[in-house]
Amino acid sequence: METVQWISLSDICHSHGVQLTLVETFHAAGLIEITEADNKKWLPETQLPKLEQMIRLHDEMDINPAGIETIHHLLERIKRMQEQIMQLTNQLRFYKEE
Amino acid sequence: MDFIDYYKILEIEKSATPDEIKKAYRKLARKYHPDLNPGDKDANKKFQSINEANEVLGDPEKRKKYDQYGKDWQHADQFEQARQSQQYRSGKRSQPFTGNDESDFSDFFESLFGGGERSTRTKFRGQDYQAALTLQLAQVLETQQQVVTVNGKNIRITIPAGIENGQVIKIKGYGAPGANGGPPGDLYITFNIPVDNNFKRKGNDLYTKATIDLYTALLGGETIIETLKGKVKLKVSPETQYGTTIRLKGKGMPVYKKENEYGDLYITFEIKLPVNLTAQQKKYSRNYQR
Repeated sequence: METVQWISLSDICHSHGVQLTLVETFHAAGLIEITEADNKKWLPETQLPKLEQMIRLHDEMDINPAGIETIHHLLERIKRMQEQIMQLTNQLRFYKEE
Repeated sequence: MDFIDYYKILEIEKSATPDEIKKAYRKLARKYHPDLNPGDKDANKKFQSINEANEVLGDPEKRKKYDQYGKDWQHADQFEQARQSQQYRSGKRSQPFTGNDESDFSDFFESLFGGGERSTRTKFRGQDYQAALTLQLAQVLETQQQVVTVNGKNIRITIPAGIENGQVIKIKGYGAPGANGGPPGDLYITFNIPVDNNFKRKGNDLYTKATIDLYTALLGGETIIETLKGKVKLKVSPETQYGTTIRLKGKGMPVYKKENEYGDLYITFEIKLPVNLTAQQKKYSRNYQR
């Protein structure tokens, strides 16, 4: 069974200088997963890079949570399209005349 | 060192006000930010230039020295110190900007850190590094370890068998160091696997051609073919037609991250006709033709 590492949200917020309410907004939008235990809120370690990206969008580019949600969906779409393009490129190589 | 025109980079006039500089920087930063341009090396490069320009022009003292010294501004003592402190930042990030004005920004940091320079206390995650590695098809038949050099640093990585052209793997924590105790970035390696001369790859399956002589095709027999792992003896059925394809199950590429699973090898036969026939051979051939 795979072990999941959890990071305390309060530690993340303190480290990045953001309010917990901001992170909770991302959670409410379904962008990250949060769990509660021992009266504290926790984030799976695997989601930390994603949360950090959202914080950067907010802090460095002054984008509001609604904008971040939109950007997140667009970036996911871009990623899928990039993967598709790579698959198609590889398939095309197969049919290309030598 | 060549002169870098920071005004040109930020697309502003030399007479631009601090507000105009800030506005120009934010506009370009939004356009070229790495988070919004995944995998775009040109955008990353441009973002670095924009940050560098803003670091200088966004600071009145630095701007003054830059305007005064031009190409030689870096020799000014304060510029040198500023550049050294810049190098500890997370790979070309500028100081974070918010929608607040200057006083609110200072108050925020004061409440956290009790004053001091705003750009020296905040933790920044290190920049991600992008690298590319070229491997031949035969090299991805088995999982292997390889040492790659990124930014002068040797890193031993494990390349899983079956990796595909264009596939990217992430090596966590091997990007640029973070600033002020922030975590390091990650290393992304894109694998380039050029087209092989003899084998075409389609997913986990391989396709190749084998040439047999006319008599083997007609009467059946054996032939030796090359696979990526060496030679294999193959039985040829009698009356094998040109273009007949056979499948060797499990002789294709290893399935990525699935041990003991393999694709198939497809072999298409081409028949080589005899040349320079003797008169007698021609005669016998004509007999068959009737």
